[in-house]
Amino acid sequence: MDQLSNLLNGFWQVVTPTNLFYVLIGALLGTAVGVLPGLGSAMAVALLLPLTFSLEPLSALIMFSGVYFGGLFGDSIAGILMNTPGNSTAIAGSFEGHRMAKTGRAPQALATAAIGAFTGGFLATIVVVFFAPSLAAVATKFGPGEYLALAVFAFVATSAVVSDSAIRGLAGLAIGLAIATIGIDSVSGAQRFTFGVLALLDGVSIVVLTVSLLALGEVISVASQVGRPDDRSVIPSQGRPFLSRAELREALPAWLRGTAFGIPFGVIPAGGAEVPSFLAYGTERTLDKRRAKPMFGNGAIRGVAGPEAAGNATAGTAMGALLALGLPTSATAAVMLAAFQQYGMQPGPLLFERSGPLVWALLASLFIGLIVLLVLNLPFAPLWARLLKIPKPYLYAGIAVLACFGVYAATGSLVDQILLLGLGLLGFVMRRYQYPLAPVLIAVILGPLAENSLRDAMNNSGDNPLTLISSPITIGLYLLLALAIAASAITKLRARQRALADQR
Amino acid sequence: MNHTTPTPNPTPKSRSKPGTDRVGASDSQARGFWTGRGGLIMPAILVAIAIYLSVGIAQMAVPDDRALFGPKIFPMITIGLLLAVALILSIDILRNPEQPTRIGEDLSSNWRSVGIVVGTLVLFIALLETAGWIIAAAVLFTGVALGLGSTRYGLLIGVGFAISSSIQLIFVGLLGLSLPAGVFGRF
Repeated sequence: MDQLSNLLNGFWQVVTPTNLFYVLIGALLGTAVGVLPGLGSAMAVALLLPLTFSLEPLSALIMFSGVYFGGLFGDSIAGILMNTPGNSTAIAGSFEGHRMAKTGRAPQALATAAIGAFTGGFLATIVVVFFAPSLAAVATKFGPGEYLALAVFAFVATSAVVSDSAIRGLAGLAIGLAIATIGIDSVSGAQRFTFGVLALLDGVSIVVLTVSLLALGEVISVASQVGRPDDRSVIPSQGRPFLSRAELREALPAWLRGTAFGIPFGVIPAGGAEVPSFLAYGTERTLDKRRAKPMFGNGAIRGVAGPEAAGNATAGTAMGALLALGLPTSATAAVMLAAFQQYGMQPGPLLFERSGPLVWALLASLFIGLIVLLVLNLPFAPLWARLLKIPKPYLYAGIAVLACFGVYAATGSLVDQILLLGLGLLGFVMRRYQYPLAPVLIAVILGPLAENSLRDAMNNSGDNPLTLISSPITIGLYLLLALAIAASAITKLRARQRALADQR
Repeated sequence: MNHTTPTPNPTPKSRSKPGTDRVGASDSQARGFWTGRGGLIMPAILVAIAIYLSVGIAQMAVPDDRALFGPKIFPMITIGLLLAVALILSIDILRNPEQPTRIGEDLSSNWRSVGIVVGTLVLFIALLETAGWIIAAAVLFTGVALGLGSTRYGLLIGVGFAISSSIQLIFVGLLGLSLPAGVFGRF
């Protein structure tokens, strides 16, 4: 039981008044950013990264664990009360959640989401504690071929399989891959696409990219819609924020089923919790139809419980995949990776050996972050809704100031402010014409890994392309990818035929 | 900017179409070529990025250029992907121009607001290291809020300075980050 004693050591390090204070601050700020319309958990981590620069690595990581789960919960609050989920992963839960809110059960919907998020995150983190070290041990045997396969899987899964339109996803992917090649090439030392600009030697920072595409792009996008009718309204959340025993009994199986859907998906690099949260939603709806009194459509508590638990369970195991493989499986995880690297922690198979104490402290603080969030949000979730009532001009002007401040604090360079504006405009254009943004982020994060693995594999084998499919793991990954593409093509074709049939 | 302004009132022809609330393709003749085809800006961006990469590859100085899989190969693959996606997207947009999915839905952008917001950001960049963080950020706040339709100038300037100075106080004063002091640094 090495893991348990390591984890206990982790708790020992973390449970000090100062560190608990940082978890609390992180959870508060993460939830606050997550609640803001249009900003999700990825943004929470990116915007709050500069906040932690003056902290010790341990305190900073502890704060991030609060931010990470806090941001995810904030997404759901906005989804339930306003029907504007901050992240695509919160969409499934907001269908029934918003209906519950409309029928006057907003506090119960928020409580169901909070307990679901806690259950999913808690069980998933337990899985991580026991399996991440073995996953890392397996991953030490990975060569460049395996890493290339994982990166290709992530690229295709996020751009073509998960997004609505494969070609639009691929457009985002191509832009991301292009951005990823800017800077000094780590293998040959050649300067690439910098055109003499010194600030570009290190490439485009992931913080600049996230803040510009997600936050500034949203600000400009909101500006472009000024004067349009705005039908978003906040439903006030009043009443008992706790669940009755009957409601608990009703929601419990859905929480557990949702968790079961979420846990495996965190390890698969497919862009986050969209798939598992919708799977959980679909399952709950199918089960509901068989009951004597179907609840779906009128605000079913299980329709909130399942997807919320699935979403946070995915986030939990995504952290495991990030730590053990160094592979970010969602945009939020990608920004977390940048945060870890800032503190000299290089996630990957060797992490548990190299920075063991730090990792176990981080895992321990994930548990504490979840508990803090539950305590904080069960009674106070309705208070967050007040943030949604700030008038739009003030809210988005504040976001713009925070975005520019965040980037300047992170990089201290004026060139990055210009990049921020340029990429912000790109983010606006992509939003305007419905291009998904997640593939850009995933491509920038995993682009260097894919490129270096490809070059290593080819150079080591005398340019023999067969080396890329020479191990069972690579063959398995490519087969799985082919299956996923086929399945998504079939569902999309069917949906199109149905839409055509409806039109006639 | 007429290419992003779709017909505000749909023609009677499209409204009479039974069983669908989509605006029919038949009224597209009434609109200009660019109507609903503003989306071509995306393929244009992709081609521009491909050109940027091509120029960069041509100018790249590689210490040891013998390996086939050197620093140029991955950008080349990316260029191929960019151009292929741009081609498919252009064909798609030319064939199926963007149309409002509901009758009367307005897809046009408010260019005045976008202009004010983007102009403010440019001003912020110009002011940041000359006038300093406090002034630049207050201008940024005020400008963006004005762009988003607020008209309470006095209040905005006040809130803007309050936000920029409190960030300066907390992060520079307490946490030791550095922000450009600008004009305040000369005292």
